[in-house]
Amino acid sequence: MSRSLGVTTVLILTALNRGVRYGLDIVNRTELLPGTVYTTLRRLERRGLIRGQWEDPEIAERERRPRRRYYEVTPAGVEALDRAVARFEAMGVDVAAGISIAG
Amino acid sequence: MSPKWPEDRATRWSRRALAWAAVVAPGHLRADRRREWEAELWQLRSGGGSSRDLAFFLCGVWFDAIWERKEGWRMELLMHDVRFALRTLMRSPGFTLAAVLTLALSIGASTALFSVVDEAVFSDPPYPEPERLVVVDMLFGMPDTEMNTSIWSYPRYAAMREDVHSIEEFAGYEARTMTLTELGDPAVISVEVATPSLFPLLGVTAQRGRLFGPDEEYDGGPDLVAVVSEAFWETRMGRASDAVGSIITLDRLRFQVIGVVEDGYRGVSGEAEVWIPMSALWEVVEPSMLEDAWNQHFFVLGRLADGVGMDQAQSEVAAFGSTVMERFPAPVAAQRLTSGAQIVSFKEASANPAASRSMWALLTAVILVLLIATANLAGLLLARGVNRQLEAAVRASLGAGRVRLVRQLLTESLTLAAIGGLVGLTFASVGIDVLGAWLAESLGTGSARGLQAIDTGALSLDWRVFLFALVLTGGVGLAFGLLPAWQAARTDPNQWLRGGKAAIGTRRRTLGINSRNLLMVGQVALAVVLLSGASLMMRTTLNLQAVDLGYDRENLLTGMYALTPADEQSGIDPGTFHVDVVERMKAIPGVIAASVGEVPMGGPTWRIIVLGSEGRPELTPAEHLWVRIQPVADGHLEMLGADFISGRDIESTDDWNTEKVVVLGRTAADELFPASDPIGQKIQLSWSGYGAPGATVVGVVEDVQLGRPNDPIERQAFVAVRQAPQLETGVLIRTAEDPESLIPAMRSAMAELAPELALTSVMSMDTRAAASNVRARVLTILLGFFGVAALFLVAVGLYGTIAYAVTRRTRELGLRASLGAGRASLAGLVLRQGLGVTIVGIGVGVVGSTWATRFLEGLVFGTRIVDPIGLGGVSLALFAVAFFAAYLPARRGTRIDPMEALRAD
Repeated sequence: MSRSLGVTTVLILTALNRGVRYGLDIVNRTELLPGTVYTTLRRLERRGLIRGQWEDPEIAERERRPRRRYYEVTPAGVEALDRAVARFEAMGVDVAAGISIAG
Repeated sequence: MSPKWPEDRATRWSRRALAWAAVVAPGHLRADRRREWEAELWQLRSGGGSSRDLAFFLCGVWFDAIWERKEGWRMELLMHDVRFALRTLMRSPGFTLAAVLTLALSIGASTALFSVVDEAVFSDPPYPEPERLVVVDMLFGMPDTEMNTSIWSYPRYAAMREDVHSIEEFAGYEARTMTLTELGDPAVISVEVATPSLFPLLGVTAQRGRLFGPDEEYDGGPDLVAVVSEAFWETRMGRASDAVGSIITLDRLRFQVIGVVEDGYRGVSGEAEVWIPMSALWEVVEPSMLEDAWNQHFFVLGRLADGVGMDQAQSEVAAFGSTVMERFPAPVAAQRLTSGAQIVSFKEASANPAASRSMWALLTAVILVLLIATANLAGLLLARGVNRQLEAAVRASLGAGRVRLVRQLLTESLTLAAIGGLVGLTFASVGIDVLGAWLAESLGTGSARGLQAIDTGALSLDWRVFLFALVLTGGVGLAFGLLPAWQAARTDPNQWLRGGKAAIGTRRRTLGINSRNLLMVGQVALAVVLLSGASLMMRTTLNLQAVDLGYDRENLLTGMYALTPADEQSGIDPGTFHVDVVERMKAIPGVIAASVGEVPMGGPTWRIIVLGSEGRPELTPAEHLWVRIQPVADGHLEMLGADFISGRDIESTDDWNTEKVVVLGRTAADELFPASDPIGQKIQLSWSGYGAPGATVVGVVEDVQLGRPNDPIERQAFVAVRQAPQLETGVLIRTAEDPESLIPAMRSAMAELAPELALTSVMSMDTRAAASNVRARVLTILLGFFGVAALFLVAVGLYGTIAYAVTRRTRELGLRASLGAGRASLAGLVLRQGLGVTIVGIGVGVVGSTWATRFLEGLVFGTRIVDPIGLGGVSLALFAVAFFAAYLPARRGTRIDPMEALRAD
């Protein structure tokens, strides 16, 4: 886990950390390309920084839609994110500034 | 409850795309991934994402799937394979170069052709919301017969606009040519007459000034106005900043330029330089243009109202159409007609079926060549594969897995294809502009309703074309790689290592039939299909040239000109003017005869109705005959070289002082006077001044083909230009020598007489004829070229196959020779294999081409689609080529030294 996180990864982690839960929503908030978001999610999950879980089937059924896969940041992920944000801040960059979390 | 999916096509397709992407994902993740993507897709479709979002999403999904896969693949291994493949290919540069070139040329040609097909067939019209654009046809027909599409008059158009509400906006357009003067040399330019609604309906805007306002539809006010194209503004006005507000002169009328349309827009016809409003027709033609319900002169476009489907609009338009006959009293000639109306989607209306069919035929042909090339390469690789089977066996025995071996070989063929595809794409990107435009222009860029069928300026390597090239390249690479790879996979290393090269002989028939022979049969069959298509087009071209046109085409120079109503108002009498033109032309040295009249394959053309004839003064409307009529100068028919059956030509004494005369073509004469001699009888025509009592028939000639050679012959009537002058006419001169050498003289004679008149379309009849069947000739040349390429490939392939067979059978042949077999019998042995393959291939090809040449239906002339003579010729040609291709290596087989052969390997 010594590799430091890049800008895209930080963006996605930040979004997840602020309560965004699934791929398409991340795409909408961060304006990254879907391909980037999905592959980053896979990598993060493999590294144990995030954890994916299937949504409660009852909710999906009530809304008559397929079950979503929700992601949340693991403690290890939060730690890595903090480190990365601090590193960017040291360079004077606010990576997460572009994410819109309104609504 | 199961998820509720939006029920549109995009969603259905996208779900299918997800299923496919899931196949790519690694097995243990497949179900999970697909479920996750589905949830996201549901969100996207329900949340109303744009099609761009959807495209990005689907790309992302594929990315996701492949990314996981790629993890398993190990990039280094792939790169290693590619490097190895490149090294192998570099070891046999001759083979590689030939293969790459063949692939590049055929992939490049297919891609360039596809870009034309793409533009003609798949592209949407270049207007906003094209699916809502329709063309509205007026329909007329006799009771109980199919209705013919017709065009609109202003009163009917205005009535329809009032009555029909499922179409929110209508617009009328009409293409005309007008003579531009006082701005450089007189020039005939393309003008579109438009209702003011046309531009807003199409979403076309002005870059300078304004477009037409609503009051310019019918009334127009005191000044005539015009809008010009950017090209007009640039080339004719030098991009003058004060262009808007300046005056241009068209047909001697002064138009004020009020605007320049947006960049590059050339009108619905794709040719317009200037637009004038419908109201200008009052002055440009005559007042009745907008008042007479039977003066039909323009096409109508419509935009469907929001939320209205084609069906609803169709029924409302049809209901309106059926009332036209009641609402607008018809002249005698049209009283029995029934009326109707229909809508056709803009896309369909702007298609040119014959041109599209030609393009498909050519694309099919190129792909056939590509298939042959692929089969050829597969054969070569297979032969190389045999040599490399030892390598494969060694690697297998050293522990390389089968999958690994197959992948190596596939990488090789795909690398080869990729190089070919890349070079081909380069060829295509160069060829598209030039070749594509040339091709589209020779096959036809216009449609029946005067709309642009294909915009040659829009040809480009867009994503569809690129995808096509990609799929083609990948497909080809897999196709010629799979067979050798499969063969390698089946290699039993033990047998190989034991038996060496000779052991293959016993393992060749792995597919039940020899796979190389199968490939050869396929190549020969495809070549037969291609060549039979080419032979059909060649016969068509020859037939078109051999048609008896009823006139002498040689040494005939033709041109056209048109006087304007303004000329007539200023006191020029058209009859006298045309006769003056003839006199001027006759005075040119080297001119044998001259006349005015309709230029064959050029025009102008008029068709009128025969209302009655001697003894039967009034035909019922059902008996009315349509006749193609033309006013001609004296001696016209003799000058043309028409054959007189009886009577005389039009003479100079046939003028306004004497009774009206007419010369009939044979068909018209036979139908009007089936039982009696037509000479001296009278006929009444729906042509000003030719009603009762009518004109006297003074002569009958063999029919003259005034259209293109493959048009049906029409009934014809020739009248005297002094008795029935029109503003517009053609001028024809018979020359002693090369007619095109007299073009300058013809032009200057015209300029002396009328400096402001533009003589257009000046060319010899031979040139005109060549231009008229350019589609057939282009198809002949290209299909012929592809056919020869196919023949060449087949010859190379066959030579390779036989040469390979000889090498493989060296030992056997040597043995036979040592046992006393003669050279002839050895050669026969080898030849039999090659020729057997050829004969089977020809058989398959003949059957195939009787089916495949159906694509040429409607493009051929004077021959049936299934043409036994052509097929016979093609088969013979192929057989001959195959014989030589097989004979050369066979002869080598007979020279085998038995002792050497037995020691070999």
